[in-house]
Amino acid sequence: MTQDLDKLQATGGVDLVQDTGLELMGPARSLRADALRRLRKNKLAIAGLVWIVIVVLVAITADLWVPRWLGDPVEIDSTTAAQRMLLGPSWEHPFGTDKLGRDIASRVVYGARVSLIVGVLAVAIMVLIGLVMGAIAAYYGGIWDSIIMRLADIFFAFPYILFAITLIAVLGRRGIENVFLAIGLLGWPSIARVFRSSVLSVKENEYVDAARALGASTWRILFRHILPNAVAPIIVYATMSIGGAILTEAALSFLGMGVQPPNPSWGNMLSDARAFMQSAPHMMLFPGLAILTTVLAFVLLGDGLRDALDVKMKE
Amino acid sequence: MAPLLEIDDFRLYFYTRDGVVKAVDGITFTLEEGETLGVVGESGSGKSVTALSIMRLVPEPPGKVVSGDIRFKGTSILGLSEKEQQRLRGNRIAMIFQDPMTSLNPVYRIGQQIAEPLRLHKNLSRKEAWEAAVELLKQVGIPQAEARARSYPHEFSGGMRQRAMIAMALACGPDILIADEPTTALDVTIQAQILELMQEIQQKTRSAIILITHDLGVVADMADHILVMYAGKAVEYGRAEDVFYDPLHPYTWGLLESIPRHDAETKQPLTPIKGQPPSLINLPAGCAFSPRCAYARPECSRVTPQLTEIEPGHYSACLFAYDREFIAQFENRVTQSEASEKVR
Repeated sequence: MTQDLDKLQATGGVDLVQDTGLELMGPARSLRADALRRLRKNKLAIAGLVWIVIVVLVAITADLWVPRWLGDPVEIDSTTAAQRMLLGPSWEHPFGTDKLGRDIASRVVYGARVSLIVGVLAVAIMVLIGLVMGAIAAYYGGIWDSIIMRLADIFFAFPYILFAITLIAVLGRRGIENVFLAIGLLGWPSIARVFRSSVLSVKENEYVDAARALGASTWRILFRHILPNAVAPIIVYATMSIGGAILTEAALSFLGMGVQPPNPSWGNMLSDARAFMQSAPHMMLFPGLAILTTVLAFVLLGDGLRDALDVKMKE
Repeated sequence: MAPLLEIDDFRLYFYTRDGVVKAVDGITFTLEEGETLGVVGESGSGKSVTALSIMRLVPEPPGKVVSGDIRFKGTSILGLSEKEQQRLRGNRIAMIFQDPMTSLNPVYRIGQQIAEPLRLHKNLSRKEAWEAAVELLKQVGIPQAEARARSYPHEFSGGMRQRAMIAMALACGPDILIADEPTTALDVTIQAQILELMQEIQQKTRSAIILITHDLGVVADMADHILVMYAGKAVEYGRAEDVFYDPLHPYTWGLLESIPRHDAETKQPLTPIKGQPPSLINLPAGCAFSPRCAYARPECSRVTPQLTEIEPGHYSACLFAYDREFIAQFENRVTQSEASEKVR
């Protein structure tokens, strides 16, 4: 437990009152409480957060109600498929049906699962690699800095989607693992850059020298003193990157390199809808709206977090 | 027994793209238990680098120890491993930094930060360290210490933060406390309080203090010995009274003259030392102070003076420090009584 606390503290996570075993008496407000309060004032960011929560809840609970109410997202009922294909929105099928008579609402909901899993895991991978790379580059500097940053430059030099397609082709088109793996492996350089510059500026603070003067070890200084002060831009960037990763997944699936039919993903649904753009526009509309609103929600939340975490915005 | 701290002909240069910066160029002094040494000089005279060298906090590269030794209780600290250095820092040798506004980590509570050295060096549990931190806050004169320990740095004023920094430095009962311009960033009234606090604590703990400042007035009350630095070199060293009342180097004269006087009968402009400190890459030939020295003679730009003992325990690096007539020039301009007035 204590070790867990240490870990959480290193990331600036835990409210530090509890490990002193004392109740908070004074008006001392943590930076986190301050940030939350500022975030609450930002209506757009809250709207984004609410939408993300809705999408997450719907995706998590999908198995409980979606197949029963809306129909199976994958199975094709061959007996009725002919009458049910390409129907417009109705009470029975709120988002209409696709060319094989499957309920689009059901497919959009299951597509949300894919998008969220890919988005979150891809960003987790890129943050993990990016933080380590950025921290090493900034703290050790010199040759390490050069090697890591030139490597990042090489990654930047490749056209992103083409690089992702190539990587998936190499890893194999098996399922979503390779999709988030590819996005995560390709996304770390920007996180590393942001974190590097953040650490570089935090490193100059006198409290870092003060910590060394207290006899703290390099790792303690890096994780306990620099990281919590340098991580704010990463929180912001990571939130926005989830939106970006969802978009990339959609693009890859659209191109046939992501989630494979019959499994639904917002990207491959759009791809299916291309042929029916004029005859059944609802097929394109709803997955498109899902992508738009979800990506927008992450970007708005990220934007709000940036303002909320900015210490200079303090009233 | 070996003295607490010995610095022996210590030289530390920075190797930069523009050339070799001779930041500390041959400093020698000793520090005894409970003693206070005032290190005085302009910006860039090597005061802070000397302090950071004792803490082994000078980044290497670009810094490099060229010669000399620093011994703590007889053991050279230059040969210590990183781990051994960490055991010394904050534990036996502690440091107070110049700007209390930036020396505390904004994401942790004051109490936690004071507890940190105790957790690092004394293996105290979180709760014990916290209680000790509250006790330390009381000692440095923070009212309602229990509640204030829970505050974050941004809720403290500059003076309170410097008190917290002192509490942090004192947490492990260090043998040496290095204070690098501890009052420069504070109001004059708070300055006096902080200096008083340091003196009080020194009387209680018997730790030695190295007080670095560019203000002779600050060290006047506190220091037992004074080391005057110029361009990385010691130009004068001696007991505080000797340096104040019988200064033997024109640079020290300049520093003494530039202290604002409150007892002046008529309105007088301040007397600054003219010119700029020299570039530490291209030091002037001979005595580094000679281009700015109002008393310079032709020899000064040719012969490099060495710090020599002029009177028992009183050293000067002026070629003419032996010459009573030369020294008398200063005494004629400012009578001794006036000099002592200024200092008080």
